[in-house]
Amino acid sequence: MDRERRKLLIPLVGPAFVFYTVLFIIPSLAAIWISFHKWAGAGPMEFVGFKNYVRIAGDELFRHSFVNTLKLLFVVGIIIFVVAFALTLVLRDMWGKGAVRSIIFFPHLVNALVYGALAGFIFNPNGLVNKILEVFGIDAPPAWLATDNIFMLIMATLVLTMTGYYTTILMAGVDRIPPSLFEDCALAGANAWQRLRYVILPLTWDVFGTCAVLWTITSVKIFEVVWLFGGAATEGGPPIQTWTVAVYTFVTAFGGTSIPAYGMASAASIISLLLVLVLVVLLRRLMRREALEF
Amino acid sequence: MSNVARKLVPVLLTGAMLALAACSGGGDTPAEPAPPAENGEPAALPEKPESISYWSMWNEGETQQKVIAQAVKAWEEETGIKVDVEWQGRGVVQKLTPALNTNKVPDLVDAAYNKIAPILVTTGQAGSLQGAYDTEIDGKKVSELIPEKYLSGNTQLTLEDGTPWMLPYSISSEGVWFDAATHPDWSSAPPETWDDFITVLDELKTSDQAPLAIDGDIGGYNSAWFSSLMIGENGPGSVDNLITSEDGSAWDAPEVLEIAQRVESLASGGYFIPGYNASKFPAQQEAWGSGKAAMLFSGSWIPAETSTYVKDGFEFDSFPLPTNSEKKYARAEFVGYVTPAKAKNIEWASNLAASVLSIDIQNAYGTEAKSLPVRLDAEVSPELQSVVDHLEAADGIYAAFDGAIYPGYTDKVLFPINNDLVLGKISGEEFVAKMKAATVDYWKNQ
Amino acid sequence: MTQSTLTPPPPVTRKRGRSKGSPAERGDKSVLRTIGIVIVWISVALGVLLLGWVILQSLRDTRSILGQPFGLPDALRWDNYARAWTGGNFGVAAWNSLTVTVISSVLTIVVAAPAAYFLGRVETPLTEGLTFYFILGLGIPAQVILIPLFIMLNSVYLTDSLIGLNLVYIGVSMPFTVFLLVGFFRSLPVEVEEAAALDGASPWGTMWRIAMPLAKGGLLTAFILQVISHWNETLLALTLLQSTEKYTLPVALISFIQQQTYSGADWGGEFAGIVLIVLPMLALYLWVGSKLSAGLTVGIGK
Repeated sequence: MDRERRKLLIPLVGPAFVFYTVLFIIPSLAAIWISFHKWAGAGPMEFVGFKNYVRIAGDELFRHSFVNTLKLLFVVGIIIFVVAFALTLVLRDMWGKGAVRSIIFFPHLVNALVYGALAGFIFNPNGLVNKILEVFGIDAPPAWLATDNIFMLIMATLVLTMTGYYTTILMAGVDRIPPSLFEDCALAGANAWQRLRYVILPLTWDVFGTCAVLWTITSVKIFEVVWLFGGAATEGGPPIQTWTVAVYTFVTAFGGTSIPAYGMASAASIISLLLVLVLVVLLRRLMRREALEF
Repeated sequence: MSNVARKLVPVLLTGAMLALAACSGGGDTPAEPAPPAENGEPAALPEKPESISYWSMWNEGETQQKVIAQAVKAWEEETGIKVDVEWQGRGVVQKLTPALNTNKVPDLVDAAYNKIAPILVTTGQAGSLQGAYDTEIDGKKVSELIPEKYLSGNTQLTLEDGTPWMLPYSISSEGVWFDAATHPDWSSAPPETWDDFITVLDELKTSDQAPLAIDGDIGGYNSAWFSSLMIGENGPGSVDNLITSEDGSAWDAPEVLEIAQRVESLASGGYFIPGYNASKFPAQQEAWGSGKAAMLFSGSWIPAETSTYVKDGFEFDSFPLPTNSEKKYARAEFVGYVTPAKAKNIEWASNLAASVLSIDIQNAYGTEAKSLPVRLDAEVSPELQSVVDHLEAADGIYAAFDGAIYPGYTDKVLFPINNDLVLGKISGEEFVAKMKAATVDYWKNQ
Repeated sequence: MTQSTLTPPPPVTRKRGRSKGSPAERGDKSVLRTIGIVIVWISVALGVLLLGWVILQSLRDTRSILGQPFGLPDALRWDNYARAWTGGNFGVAAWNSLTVTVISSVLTIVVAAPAAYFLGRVETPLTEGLTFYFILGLGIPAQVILIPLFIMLNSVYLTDSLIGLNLVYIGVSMPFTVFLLVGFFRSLPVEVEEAAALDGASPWGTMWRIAMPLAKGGLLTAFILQVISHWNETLLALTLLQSTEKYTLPVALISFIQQQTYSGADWGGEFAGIVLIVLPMLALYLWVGSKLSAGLTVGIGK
């Protein structure tokens, strides 16, 4: 049967292979190629070697964007994981956990542009938050949408909207733990901490690893929430204090306030790709514990 | 009320007189937009296409859009060619830039000079509008309708080989805007020097109005303070001199520091409206319109842009940014048509562009759209009269940043550093030092 | 990843009354836990309120929204929607979004499912390599392919084209969909197919008549996940589409908000636009909610 089935390789896998190769892999390779050139999109391509990489390394805008991406990756990532894990423990046998679980998952399905746009209404000087604070007698509220504060708000927004998603995945992991194990724990007189340390953590370790990889991939391409946060992007993009590598790439290539620099934009995107590769390899190393059979 | 009226009458009168003068000067031919296809050089026009495409910098519903839409409609009826208009709004240049590299370029685009020039001219993607300049409108060649005076402001409407690449139909100027109903005295006796200005601002600090509104998130508005003060004191070309200083030495001049410190003092002196560093455009412009701030230093587009939301009884007026210089300079930047070199219907697009310079459309642009038409003989609404007066009296014309079209310089070098200055994060000295370093860096990377 | 046996995931047996927890577990309900529960409920309530609030505001005019953000609509102002629908171009954009989302999601499954079936069922070094090749794409951020895609599509006249956008969405969906479905097919019992093969069914017939119907749940999940991601996709649409009549909803929202900066704030219209983007997702979620998280877990679980 297998031999016959193998003949179907080309008709079955072929179309997917072609779509994927033409529209994903070739463009990725082309991006590497372009990143070694100086090119405005039209006209001649000039080979410049690693010069684009050197230039963006010295470009304050890029450094800023890169640091922001790292902040999203690590700071937001760690907060999400800690909160999600705590939520998992709280939710495990809470009344109404099904409903809560469904509700906290939903924000993941909404375009992040929406959060950015809403933030403009909620945080502007005459906005919702300040109106509420007024009720409590606070008439000198923080300058929420000051260019230096926006990125903090973006990070907070991401925590609020993404935690539910990761909680759902972690909970699925916890749910797979046979209840008998918890009963054994109880019989052995284990306390909450011991239960966490010796049962829950080891048995959900692989799910944690998957989530970490997932967040790495997701966070490196964050664009929407930044693009519209607090209001319209004016004059070639949102304030530079909030840029991520994805925003930098888009603005440098398609921003429209200066000549497109496809080479530099590609170099920036390749760096984000390298970031993902390095982290995923590291994470797999780190997370490679013996998968416990249960 | 009567007091206000008395102050206003002279303004209105001058306006009316000018309009009269304009009418008699421009010839009494009212009527419809001239039929350029017939009067012009028909030989130059190829066969009529079914339609041409036009991307506009105006949004549907804006006063300017309504007038341009009238012009387009008239032209469609005139020629029988359909115009596919996309009211893209101010993002039109952002949309155009990537499109220029594709095979789907629009035939006609309108945009502000300083936004479109870096994209089109420096990359050699501008098409020739010679056809538009050669077209006859109201019995005159279009090229004669563009006032010589505005061309002195360091702006180049022609490429190096003399080909015209932009046809302006409007200009933007600037002023310190205020509500003449609340501050009638500024209409008659505006502050003349920088010290006068600061005195007025200091008085305002004790009133319930903030002295100056500014949307601190707009890099262009923030840097207008430095650019216009610098040019206002040191003449057109002085900012260009700073930008093109490859070794940065021009930034060491004491007058540069002085201007930077003036801007610094505006921030540190608490003259800007509270919250200007924490809001999104147009929040502070709206605050000014509702009377929370007394003045707004901004472009001549303010009456058009804010008239829908200013408070009842608001009377637009403005005075030029006060400077100590003997000579007075006025800002004038072009807004107009361009066509990408790759466009398929350049000739007919040029023809449409030229029709917008007919006196009817220009009058409507000055009155209904409340914006400055490029033709000197066109009518202008009273709100803009003070700006027109200043333009006429000026010893020289300049463009913002001296018309700098060095790609990336304004938005990546000037704006970020200048934002810090206007938002009170760095001192004038730090500004100069940072600008010098960043300018040297910029040229090193070109 | 190199799990070679096709064992189904261990069945989770739910004992009745388990939600109450064992006596010992109940014993250590700490203060911390109670606080946790309270916080969870408060944030859930706030989230639901925010959603309801947005929907209500979309029916009020801008002036009253600004004046009294917690007010209720005095009348149902559908004109916000009318304005957003025509002036904001949301009408055209909603239609574009709908067609692109449905077409590209269906085609994604049609293209990816057979490939995933093959890769999940046939174990050779080649298929393992191919599986890895597909999964590789999961790690490539969208911004990498932005510029080359733009250039490539332009050379075949497919920029500013919904057909082009469809093709791109299918291409970029391959890694995740193949990854998800390979896992899913591996989790399906192989016995029925073997029995069919013994009965003389061709591999082709086995796939269509046995495997695919068995996999219906997984295919539906994959389809819905694609619907969600294509409905919300912004960066590629923003780059590849230039003319307003081609905009999808996210691009239209961006341009609507940009417009407002010059024509004055129109919060009523903006909220209406937001509701247009969010509500379909809510409806979808209410419809298939449980399947969705179940499907996600199958893919993620291994």
